[in-house]
Amino acid sequence: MTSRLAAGAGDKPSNWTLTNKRREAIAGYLFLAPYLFFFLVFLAGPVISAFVTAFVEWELLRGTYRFIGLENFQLIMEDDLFWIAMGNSLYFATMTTVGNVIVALCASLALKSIRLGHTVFRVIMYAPVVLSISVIGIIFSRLLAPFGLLNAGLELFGHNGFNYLADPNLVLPSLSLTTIWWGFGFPMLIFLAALYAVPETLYEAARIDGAGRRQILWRVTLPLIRPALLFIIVTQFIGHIQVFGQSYIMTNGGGPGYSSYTIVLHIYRNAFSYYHMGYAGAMALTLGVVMFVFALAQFRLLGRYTEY
Amino acid sequence: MRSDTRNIWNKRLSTAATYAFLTLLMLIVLFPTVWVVGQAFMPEEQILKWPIQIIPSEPTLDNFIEIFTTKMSRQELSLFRWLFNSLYVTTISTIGVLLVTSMAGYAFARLRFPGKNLLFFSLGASFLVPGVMLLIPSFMLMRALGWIDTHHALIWPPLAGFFGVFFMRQFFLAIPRELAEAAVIDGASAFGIYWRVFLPLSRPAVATLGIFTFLFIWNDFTWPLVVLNSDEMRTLPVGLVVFLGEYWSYQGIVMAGAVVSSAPVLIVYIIFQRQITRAVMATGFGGR
Repeated sequence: MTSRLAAGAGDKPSNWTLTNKRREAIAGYLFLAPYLFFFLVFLAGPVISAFVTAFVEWELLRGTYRFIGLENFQLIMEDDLFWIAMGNSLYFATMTTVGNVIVALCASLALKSIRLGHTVFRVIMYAPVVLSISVIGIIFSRLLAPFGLLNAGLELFGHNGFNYLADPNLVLPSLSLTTIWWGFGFPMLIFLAALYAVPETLYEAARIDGAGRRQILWRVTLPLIRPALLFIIVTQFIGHIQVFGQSYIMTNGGGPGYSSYTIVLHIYRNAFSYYHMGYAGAMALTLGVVMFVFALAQFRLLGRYTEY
Repeated sequence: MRSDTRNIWNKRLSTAATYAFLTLLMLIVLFPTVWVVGQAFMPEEQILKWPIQIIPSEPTLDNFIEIFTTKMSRQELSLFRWLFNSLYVTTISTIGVLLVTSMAGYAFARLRFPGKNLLFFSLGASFLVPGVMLLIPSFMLMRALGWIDTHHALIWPPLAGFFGVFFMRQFFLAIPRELAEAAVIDGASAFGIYWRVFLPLSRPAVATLGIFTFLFIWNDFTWPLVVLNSDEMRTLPVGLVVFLGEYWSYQGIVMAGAVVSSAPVLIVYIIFQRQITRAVMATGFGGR
């Protein structure tokens, strides 16, 4: 029945299919039109303007707008705060990415090997991911306070505790731990999906060949989920280098001193407190380039030996 | 024989270790939550005690009453206003995203037109642009449009996001061609096929995309902080931080605020956890 219908359609005169084709194309563009409109206005336009802004002196308060070439980038080179903030963000992103990957990997391996209670563990461990940074920040600035929950716990072991958010050496690791608590559920689910995709026969084959658990982990499991690992490492790093809310909420915008002052905080302050739009735009572009370079390096390092 | 029993014991031991590890991790996630909820229901005198109390001895609703009835600063505002703002902005924006991106996804999945692939990949390239680079130009655009301190600034920009287009296209591609052909024979228009055949069939995908869009817009912090500056326009996450700044010394009130603003998303999460988990595992969606 369907084959006869198909043959019948083919028998129609060619100009019928032609107008039909045209009608389909018009329908296609019409369906796309609303999205395309929003895309051009709110995404394509700002992307182009992001590149232009980096090369202009744009002072919102004085109303100046003029092309100054690379001058903004020269200013960046001399801006000590920019480099302090960049260092802090890189440190934070590295710590958080490594921590998240380790915790998420352990959790997903554990989840994969159990059946009873699997859903309960998984649902609870992912739950913090759906909370907003403001809730996380509020809760953890209380939890990490000198008389907060964590120090109360340490006192049980006879320890006096720390002033996590006021100690220049502890503040970034504390923000990082907060972020891992908030977000490890996401990479956990990605790893779990990757682990389920590994055919069970490969484990059996390895076991028959006499491989121990550790060997199976390092020689079979990890190489086979490498694409997921790479995806998580790159996206986590890019996400966490743009850390903003944690410092904004938990450390009064980068304190103590500038020990948790991050690059996005520096961009935010320059743009929306001092209204140096051009300079802030140039810093955002620089950060974009830094992120691109790091992502490329991670692809190179981790994607190198993919053949087995 | 002996190695067999040893194997069994090894296996049991490792299962026990696995459960111990997962339980520990779960407690690390749960314990702060329990503490927060406990503090929210605690009278201030008990909160101030040291060592810290976890369970409220005389549970009270005072903290919640306080945050919902106190008028903030000069504007006579309460938390209800921000709850309403968040709900309003997020709902309209989510509906917009679902409509616009599902139509575009349908065009890419089901219709043939010149330049389709080129267009798809050019739009997809927008994925590579980091959010921080868009912050300043988007702010300037809002200023040019006169949208600073209006809810337009929160509602419309999410409609440009490419993820929804990609997500819906993948789903539409998987729907059997015969269903659409039957509708064509029945004389349905292109829009009729989309609206009456494809959209109803993809209800699960629309729901999943809707939940994620909702959570994403609801939780956003940086963008509303940048484009809204009057108290009566703020959304809940930003409003909460500003409001609690004034009440920072009253821990019970702070914690009640945290509970009130996370309850809606946690309820959505618990109801739809199956869909959320499946979508994250299938697409890597929901990443930060």
